[in-house]
Amino acid sequence: MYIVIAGAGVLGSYIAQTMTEEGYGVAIIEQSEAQKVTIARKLDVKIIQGGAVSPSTLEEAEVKRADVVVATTNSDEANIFICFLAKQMGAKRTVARVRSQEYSGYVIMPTDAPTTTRRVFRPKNLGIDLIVNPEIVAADEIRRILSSLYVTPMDEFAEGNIHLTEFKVTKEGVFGKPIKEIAFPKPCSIAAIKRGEEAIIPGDSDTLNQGDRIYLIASKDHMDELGALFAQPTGKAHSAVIIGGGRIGFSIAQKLEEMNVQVKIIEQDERQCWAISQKLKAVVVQGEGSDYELLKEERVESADAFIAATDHAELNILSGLLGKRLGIKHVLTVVDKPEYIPVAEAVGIDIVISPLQLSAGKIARQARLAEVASVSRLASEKMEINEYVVGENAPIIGKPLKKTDLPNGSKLLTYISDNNIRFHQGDNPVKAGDHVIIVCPISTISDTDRLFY
Amino acid sequence: MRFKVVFNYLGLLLTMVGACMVIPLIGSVWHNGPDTTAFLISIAITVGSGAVLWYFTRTKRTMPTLREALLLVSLAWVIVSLYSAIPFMLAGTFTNYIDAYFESMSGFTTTGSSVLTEIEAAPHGILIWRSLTQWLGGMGIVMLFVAFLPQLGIGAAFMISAEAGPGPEAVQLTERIRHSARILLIIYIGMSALELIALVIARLPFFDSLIITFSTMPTGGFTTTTASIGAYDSVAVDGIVTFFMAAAGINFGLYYIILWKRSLKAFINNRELRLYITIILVASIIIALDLIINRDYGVSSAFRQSIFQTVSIQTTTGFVTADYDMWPHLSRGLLLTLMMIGACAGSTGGAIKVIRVLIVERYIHRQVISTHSPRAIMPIKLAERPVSERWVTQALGFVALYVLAMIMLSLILSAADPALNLESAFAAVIANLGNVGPGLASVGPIVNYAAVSPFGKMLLSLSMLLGRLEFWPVLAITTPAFWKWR
Repeated sequence: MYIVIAGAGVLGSYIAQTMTEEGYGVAIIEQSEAQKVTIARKLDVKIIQGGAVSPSTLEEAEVKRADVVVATTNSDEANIFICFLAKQMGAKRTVARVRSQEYSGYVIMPTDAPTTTRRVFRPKNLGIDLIVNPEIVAADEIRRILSSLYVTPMDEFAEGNIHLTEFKVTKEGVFGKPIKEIAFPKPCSIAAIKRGEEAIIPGDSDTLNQGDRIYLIASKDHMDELGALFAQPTGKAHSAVIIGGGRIGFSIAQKLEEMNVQVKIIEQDERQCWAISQKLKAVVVQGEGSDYELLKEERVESADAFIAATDHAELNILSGLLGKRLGIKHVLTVVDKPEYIPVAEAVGIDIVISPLQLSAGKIARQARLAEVASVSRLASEKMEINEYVVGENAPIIGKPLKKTDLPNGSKLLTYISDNNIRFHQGDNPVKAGDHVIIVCPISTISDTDRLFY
Repeated sequence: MRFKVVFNYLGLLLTMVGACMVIPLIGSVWHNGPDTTAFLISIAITVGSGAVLWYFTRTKRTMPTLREALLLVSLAWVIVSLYSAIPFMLAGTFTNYIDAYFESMSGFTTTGSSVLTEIEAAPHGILIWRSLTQWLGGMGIVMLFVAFLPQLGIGAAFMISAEAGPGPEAVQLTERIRHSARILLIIYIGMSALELIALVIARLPFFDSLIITFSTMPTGGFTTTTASIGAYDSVAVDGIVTFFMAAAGINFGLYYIILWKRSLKAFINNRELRLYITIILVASIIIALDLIINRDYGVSSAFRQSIFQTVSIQTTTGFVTADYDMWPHLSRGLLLTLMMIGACAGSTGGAIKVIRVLIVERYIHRQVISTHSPRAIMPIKLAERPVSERWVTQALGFVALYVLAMIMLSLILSAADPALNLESAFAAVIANLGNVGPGLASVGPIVNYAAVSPFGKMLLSLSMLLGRLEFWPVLAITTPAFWKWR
């Protein structure tokens, strides 16, 4: 697969990095010489220097044979136009990073045509297959986490029937126990264990320790019951404090208000306070998010959730720690520098939200759409869970999964054949059209892909 | 710095080089030569040490960092040359290890300067190995290695750029460096095969054709006789060899564009290539005229000799069909200049490279203009595309360093070796730094380097290495800062 990335900013180079680790060919278009040199020292990619909003540069990057073109320059308008040009030149799929919410959805316009009364204009009309807005992606993720029973990140597979949920192991009953000795009340599979900065794909004899984060895959109806093995259910959040009323804090507040969560926002800039308070029901307080006295004064500790969502990762980590000290149950922290995420987890932040990683995951999903039905990245992007639909000519057809050698380090999680969901390796031979969910380190993805189509 | 990682890759590399000794072994067995056991023992030693080194340093496979890549590449060339000298010693070709080391370094760096006095007496296996070292070194031993070894990631790019030198014409042809390395290798092997076939058709014995092919494509220069290509005295052979030498001196990236992208435009518009061809044509004509006027050559033989010699020297191959040391001073001087200029970047040729000469020329031109129009802003352009100032500075720095090194090494050589006069010392350094091979006077085309003192041979081996790796990686690892912050 060949991917062209226009604009090697933080998001662009992050996507390039994960894509090259997965073994795909990547070309980057970048205007600045300094950034070009940095990339050349870091990534094995082809770099084309020049402005991406130009047909000749896009041609040089061989956009015509690209499977995906990702436009992540600083300008929304440029990104939209790059996707338009790329699609015209023959790119199979395009993704644009668009920050402005005005452009993100569709536009409805009146029309003079006699047959219809209105006209809907969508990104597709411009040749854009996917619009990614990092702030909205992060806000959605926070909404999803706060609305689940365990207040934890999750993902969906098999058309929503299978859930993948992250739990922090806090119940003493399972400490130090090998996985095979745990009496699971319902069928399920542990996809990965994250311990500190290390992530492993566990075998039957691996044990669970206090503070591990586990990624559990199970049928959606069984998840709540299974979760009780590892962690205390906490109930959905009904009130939340958001530190920072910028683009991302505002988006979160909007999403939470849709769920009838009571929101209080603490924002430093007075003008911004005025602007957002006009659009939200939330209480908006002007002040510094790292001001402990202010947090106490505002009775922040009575909230169910505390979300640190300013534009500064450092400030968010600090506010998050203050929130923990105040005894708030769920502290969520937005951290947009990938290298800070393990640090934030190490100092005790429960849930770290990275708009960057979430957007990159969304884009990766779009890129891999031709190969897999669903993708989920986990454990700081070191692993990927893929749902494969077995292709007509896949080499695996006719062999039982039990007798198949999966690439090193990967593990079968779920095997779905004729609506029959199994969490172990079946004895029946695999047929075309079966769904197989597999977790693997991202470096072996291309080997795993080869088995299934 | 993780020395384990560096030595692990060195171990693998050494094993690979040892495995390549099977080719001369086959040649030796085929011709029933006296050197069969020498190769068997050499293979055992080389593969054995490589495997041992690899076994005791094996760790989780990780990518080398930039510093590790620099050390790895510099060490690789030295150590590989040390080991590939073993067959020369065991077969009794040389009695002195310094001579054997000189010969094998000369091979891997594609220099082609020899200390072997009786080439004709050497067994077949040794001759094959001598030429094969050039063929392996031509594309870069590390490049060969990278093409076959997966999971090096960005480390591969570090290793290749440490070996091939950074430049605007970087090796990154496609989106993956390993893929690019494979494409270059395919082109290299393909052209070698074509030359082999052409030479066999020209009725050269298969053995000679193979040896010459192994020497032409990497622009090396070793042959089976002291008289070099002149020994065959065949117009067809001269023509074929000239063609393939010239082809090997062109940036391989251009072949990629022609063959894979099916476009001739980049080839025709390439300024470096135009200058390269211009230099060859102009120099051949001047030398031919010089020969006709001052040495009573016939027109056809003057052109035949001048074209062959110009191409051979400019591409830094060093094949000989005539004793150009007997030519008039203008011709000798021109050839010496061509030794410094060398071939195109991204080719298998060495020396300063045409593109740097071109950039320096444009830079001088800009300086001249800015003397009378100080506020003029003039980016340096190649084929309508501006060259980044970083590359301009890099090219200037390289040329300055090249000239400086040339002078220093020549002075040391003339001080240390009383047997060489000043002209010979300069020519010897220029010819070895540029990976050409034969120089002038006492190291000219019909004599060799056997008479140079042991110290001189070590100094010239160092020059070959510096020239082949374009100085920077070797110099980088000699700075205290490299080791302090390792």
